[in-house]
Amino acid sequence: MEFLAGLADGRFLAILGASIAIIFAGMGSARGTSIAGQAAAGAVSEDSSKFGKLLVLQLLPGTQGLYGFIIAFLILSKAGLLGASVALTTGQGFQLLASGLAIGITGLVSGIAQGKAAAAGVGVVAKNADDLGKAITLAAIVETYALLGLLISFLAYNGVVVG
Amino acid sequence: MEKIYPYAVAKIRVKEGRLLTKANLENLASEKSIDRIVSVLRERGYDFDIVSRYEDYGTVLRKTQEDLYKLVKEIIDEKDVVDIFLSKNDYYNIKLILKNQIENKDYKENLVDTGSISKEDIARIMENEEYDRLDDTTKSAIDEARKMYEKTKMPFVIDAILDRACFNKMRNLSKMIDNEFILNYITKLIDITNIQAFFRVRKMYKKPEIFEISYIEGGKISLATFMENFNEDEQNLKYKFMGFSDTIEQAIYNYKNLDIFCDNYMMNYMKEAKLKSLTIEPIVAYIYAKKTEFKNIRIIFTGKLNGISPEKIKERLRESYV
Repeated sequence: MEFLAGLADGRFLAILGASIAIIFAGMGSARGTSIAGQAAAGAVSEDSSKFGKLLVLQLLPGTQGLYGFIIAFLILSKAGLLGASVALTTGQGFQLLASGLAIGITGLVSGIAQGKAAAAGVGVVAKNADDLGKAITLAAIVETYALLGLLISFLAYNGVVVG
Repeated sequence: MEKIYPYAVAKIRVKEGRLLTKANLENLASEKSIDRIVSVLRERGYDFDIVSRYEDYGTVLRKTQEDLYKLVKEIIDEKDVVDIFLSKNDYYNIKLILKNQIENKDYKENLVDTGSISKEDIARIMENEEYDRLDDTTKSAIDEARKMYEKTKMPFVIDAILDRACFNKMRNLSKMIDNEFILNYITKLIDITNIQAFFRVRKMYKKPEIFEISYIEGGKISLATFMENFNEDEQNLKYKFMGFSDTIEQAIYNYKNLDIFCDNYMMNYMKEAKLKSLTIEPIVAYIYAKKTEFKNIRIIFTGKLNGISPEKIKERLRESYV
């Protein structure tokens, strides 16, 4: 019984929401930067002078993890886990959990997808270093969807009234 | 989900920048001094320091080819994928050993070390008849080639049977990795090889049974189509091989350049890989591009060393990847 009560605890649900935001968005970024990083390493193994330019491309899929972290931090803060304690109902806990889902899932998918676009961009820069701007633009478009996820997560989080 | 090779593809993209373009090759063909040609090739990674005279350019190409396959083994971690490209070299060694064994000649000098089996191992396997160490396709092909040679006494059958087995092995491996680009490449290669053999046999031997020995299964054109049309008039042939009418026309009206046409046909297919950014296609295309570059350099050197005019050399050059 205590276990079931724990599951319905508002603070537990808020922590779960924060974890979902950071775990999934972080996974997306880890995979994305890994794919882009492998591609950058391949190009650098042949031409080390391109390291600086390629690093920018590798960093692009790293933002999703950061967005996940921001939402997770805000959720924990609203749930009173970082400062003064706040009374949280089960319903409020679920609302905070739901707000973390948006960036978690869009972060996961867009992070991997952006990593692939960035890796393809590495191929472009590998052939012609002057095309870095084009490669960044193409990969950055994927970012839009992570940003939309972040926005919805933030709006939802903001709409949850606690205390 | 299709497997991605970000490291390998990006590495290859840089290397593609060092391939000789069509214009580079034509300039080399027009170049009067071999020193100048060698200096351009040195810049592209061909190590002429290993030979003392330019006539030995073949050794340089062989070494570069070995480096290419070493690179492929390094950047692709699945043996099945690598073996698709290396088996041809294994079969080259096996054919060489079998034919030389028949004539009691020494072959060790000419073995290549770019196969999936080292040249020492393959020589040992063939000499001690340890065929069980080979895969079933290769084992039964060696057996069939020996029997067929005993019966016909034509060395040609050894090539035909082992080439067929080689394509079979490549096709089986490409089915296993289930990549459409590679499967299509093998299918096209089989069709083109069959068409070339068809016209060669029609012109030289005039016997359909000889073509039947060299026919390779797995292409789009069936053996029945070839056999039915073996004695067909040239004018009607292009209507009998749907999808290959350009190749057939080339074979009929410009037979001496059929090999160039076929190489260019395959290269145009390979260029589709330029649109792929993470999957295996660019690596496959690079291997093909590099092999074509070796062929082009060989054409230039042979031409230059034999005093052939630049125009004639240019005519023989194959389409390059970049």
